[in-house]
Amino acid sequence: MGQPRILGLAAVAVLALVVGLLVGQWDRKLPHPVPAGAAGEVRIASITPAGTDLVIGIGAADRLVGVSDFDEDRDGTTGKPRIGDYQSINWEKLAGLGANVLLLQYAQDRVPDYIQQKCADMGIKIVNLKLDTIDEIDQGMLTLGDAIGRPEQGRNAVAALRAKLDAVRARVAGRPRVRTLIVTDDLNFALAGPGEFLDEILQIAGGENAAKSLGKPYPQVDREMILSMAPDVVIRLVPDGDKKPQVVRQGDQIWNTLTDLPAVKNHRVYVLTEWYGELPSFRIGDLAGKFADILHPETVERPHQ
Amino acid sequence: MNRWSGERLVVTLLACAAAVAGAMLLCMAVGSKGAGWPRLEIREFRLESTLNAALIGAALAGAGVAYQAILRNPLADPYLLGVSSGASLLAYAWTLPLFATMVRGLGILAPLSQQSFSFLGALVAVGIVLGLAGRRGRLEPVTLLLVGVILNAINGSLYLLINALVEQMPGNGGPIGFLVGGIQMITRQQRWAAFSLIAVGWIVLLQISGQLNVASLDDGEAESLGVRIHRLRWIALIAASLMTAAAVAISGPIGFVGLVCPHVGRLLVGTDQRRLLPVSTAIGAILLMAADALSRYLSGENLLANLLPVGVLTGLLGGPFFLWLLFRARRSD
Repeated sequence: MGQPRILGLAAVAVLALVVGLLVGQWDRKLPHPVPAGAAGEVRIASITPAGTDLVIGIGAADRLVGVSDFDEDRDGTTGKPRIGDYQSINWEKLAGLGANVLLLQYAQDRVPDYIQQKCADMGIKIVNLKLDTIDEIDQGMLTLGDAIGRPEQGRNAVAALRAKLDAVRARVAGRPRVRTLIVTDDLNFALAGPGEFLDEILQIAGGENAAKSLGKPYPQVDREMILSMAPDVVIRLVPDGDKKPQVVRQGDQIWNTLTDLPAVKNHRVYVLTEWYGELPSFRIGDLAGKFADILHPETVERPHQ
Repeated sequence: MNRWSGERLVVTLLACAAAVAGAMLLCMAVGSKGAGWPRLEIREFRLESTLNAALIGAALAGAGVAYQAILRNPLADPYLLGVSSGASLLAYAWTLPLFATMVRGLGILAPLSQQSFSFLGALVAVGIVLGLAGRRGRLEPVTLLLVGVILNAINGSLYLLINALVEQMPGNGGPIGFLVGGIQMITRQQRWAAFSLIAVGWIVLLQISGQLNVASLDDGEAESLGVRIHRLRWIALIAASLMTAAAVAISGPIGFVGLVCPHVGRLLVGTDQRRLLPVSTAIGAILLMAADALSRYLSGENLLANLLPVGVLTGLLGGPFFLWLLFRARRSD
């Protein structure tokens, strides 16, 4: 290949690079659709079901313009457009909805670059919620209250949630703690370990986490380890299990093989099929109540005859 | 081809069985609560887990020998013809609310288990591949490979399509539940059902292992040696696919074993399929038992406190070992 030809190719490559950069800049400055709402109005889109529920929990469902693909249809989400999930976001839809706040739930400092860049281009504020513990759930509600310009709603929601949890704590006060395993996946024996919200609400509900010694939030163990933990109660979380009884039944079969486990011997393996069972959401107060019902059935108020 | 007597077959089988039994005892002495011979109730768990590992490892490695011979491709593995993607697709479909509705609609009183459903998926996938690749009773290795690769891609896309449509949260029985694979949660009935199918497939392969030696020759040469090569391909592929389908249905896809164990076997005993099949089968069983034991050991509370998928460990254990054997063999050449 002669030198002129190489120079020609290099010139074409440089030209292509320059054109590419210019097109990239032009694309960044493309005007995006003007938000459909009133000027200054906060319009929230969420790709995290827990975040969606916190927005509803603080009484700001009217500000939700788009929800996650994983969100259940319920008060506050029914009829709302689905804008994606943690794997992919429909940016065109998001722009069309005029969202100016995007709720995420990634590990801190792990928000993907493309999301940060796209949100910066579109003028969308990112609110990345950290919701591993009850304190963080409280903080999430306060942050959301500030984000919508109604901080008192955030504070009220925190107070309401704390009151609910306190009521559960008071109901089981003075009773012996029940050694319990919370299972988030039957097939792989995935457990709720110490240091996260399920562990905290278990303690509020009068339980003691049998997986405490594992020292990590979501351990996955084998049957030998389950047997050595010797839980008196097992609570299996199967969100939407009522719609897929075959999955619940498969879990039943797995647990029934552990005949030496105190919880199995005493028929104290329970399944909770609530959709919010594994979500660090506003519903953790309800979840704590359900845990307490299971662990301390004697405290459940019966309706008067 | 060397002469092969019944006596040599028995000696080979006994040696392989002894190696597997020895490895089984060692693996049973390791668990999440540490090393040492376990007490009775724990022994039962370890025995089940070890037996499951041996069965699945043996099936995948045995099937791998047949696939590599028939497809004349050293990179062939038991999942090449769509078995695992078909099984995974239907295993995932089984977890969806739609499945419960369908079962109710059909009025089936005893619903199929996830394993039966995934077995069905594996068989359908292989049926499609063999149906499309077969032409006038003939099976061409290149066509088989292409159809298998395309079907795997289609199954993968269907998997993602269903996932996108049903919008299911990852987690309990969710989209990745089956893909992770595992051997801890297999019932006795499932193990026996899988064992029966795998045993039938393996005996068929052993029966035709002498003829598999000529599968690497071109079709004309094979026919001139008196081997009906197309018939042989059908029989070997159906037997190997049955074994793979039975294994995948109960464990999910566990990679690496079916690909590498035949190569390790070849390095140890040469290319004679009559010896290679039992030896590779034993290596597959031992490799997966070792991976399972290590996975259980590492899940102890002072270590990872997490039960790693055995497929991860088969790669980490078998890969370096295979490379070591490979380089040793090259040095001695």
